[in-house]
Amino acid sequence: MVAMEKKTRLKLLVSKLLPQRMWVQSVFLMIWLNPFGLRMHGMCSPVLHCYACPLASFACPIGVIAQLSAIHIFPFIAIGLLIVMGTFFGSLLCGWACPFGFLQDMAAKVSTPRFKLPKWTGHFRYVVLIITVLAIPYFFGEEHWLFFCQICPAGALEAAVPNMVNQAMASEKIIWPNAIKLTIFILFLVTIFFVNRPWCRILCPLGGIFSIFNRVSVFFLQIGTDKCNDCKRCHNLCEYGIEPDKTPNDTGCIRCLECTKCVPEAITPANIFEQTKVMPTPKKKDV
Amino acid sequence: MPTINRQAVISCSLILIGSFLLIYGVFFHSTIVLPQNDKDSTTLLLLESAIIKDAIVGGLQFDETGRIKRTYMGKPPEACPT
Repeated sequence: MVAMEKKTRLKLLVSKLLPQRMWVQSVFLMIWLNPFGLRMHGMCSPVLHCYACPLASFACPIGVIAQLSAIHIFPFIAIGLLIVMGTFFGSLLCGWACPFGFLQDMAAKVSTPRFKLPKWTGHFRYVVLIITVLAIPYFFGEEHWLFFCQICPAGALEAAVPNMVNQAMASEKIIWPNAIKLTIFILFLVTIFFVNRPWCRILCPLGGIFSIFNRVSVFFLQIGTDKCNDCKRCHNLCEYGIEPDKTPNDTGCIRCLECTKCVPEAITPANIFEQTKVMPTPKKKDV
Repeated sequence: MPTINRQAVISCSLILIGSFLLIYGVFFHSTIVLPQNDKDSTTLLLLESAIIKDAIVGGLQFDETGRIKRTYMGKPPEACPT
């Protein structure tokens, strides 16, 4: 009964927060935008937020891994933080805390034709991670044109653009980002109006890392096979082309938790500590 | 999806490993860095958080001998060179 009560609490919390997801993302955005002027750049945040941004509370973990890879130092802090946060939440951080994901969610509110991406495109995230975050920095250093920070659109938006505005306002010489970064940034700005979360789903190395943890994370989604009536409503609720009734903890999932709106409530949020206890499940006739 | 008990064991192990790496990185991991000035023979022993602060603004690079060297004297650069 205790397990049942706890499960209900988690479900209740998710159902209360779900309609307010944009507000939750806004609160996290405020946290990343250095509200207290501390600039704790010796520590990483668990989201993609460029530390060159004039308003950045913490360092970007991907930037730190790339930069330390360039000087052949193992990034214990960044890797440790990603393992801990990934194990607790998986890609829930992408869906609810990442400021760059929030921007793409805002763009998704604009009513334009939306194109669906094939599922295999998600594997490019690991290519980006291995090549531009680990291999290129390690072997060629930070000056190589494929070094992650040289091409990152989050860096262009959060650091290059505000710095250019500052330079223009101070009547200084404007320093433009390199052509590749600028091209990727413009492509990104166009694509977010036609594809839902294109960066997160195709190229984000941080999203790739967190999604690996989805299958073993403390917080996860479970499918109640006795409740699922195979109506496929969850397929329509998911904007990212996942079939939550088959793979609720898919690596392509950003854990927006929209699929938990499914009726009957076949897909539910859960955590491993509840699940280790015996949990009563309703019979088919009760559904 | 692993079974729930197996998942709990994997999760707890990963949290322990991650916490160990994080604590080691914050409190113990340090690297020797050469100062920017060649005449200055004193080396710096920087903790990882200080290394991160320097590295993200392009403040650390390899020198000709393959050792890590500071690229600035006094105040660090304000922004990342990329």
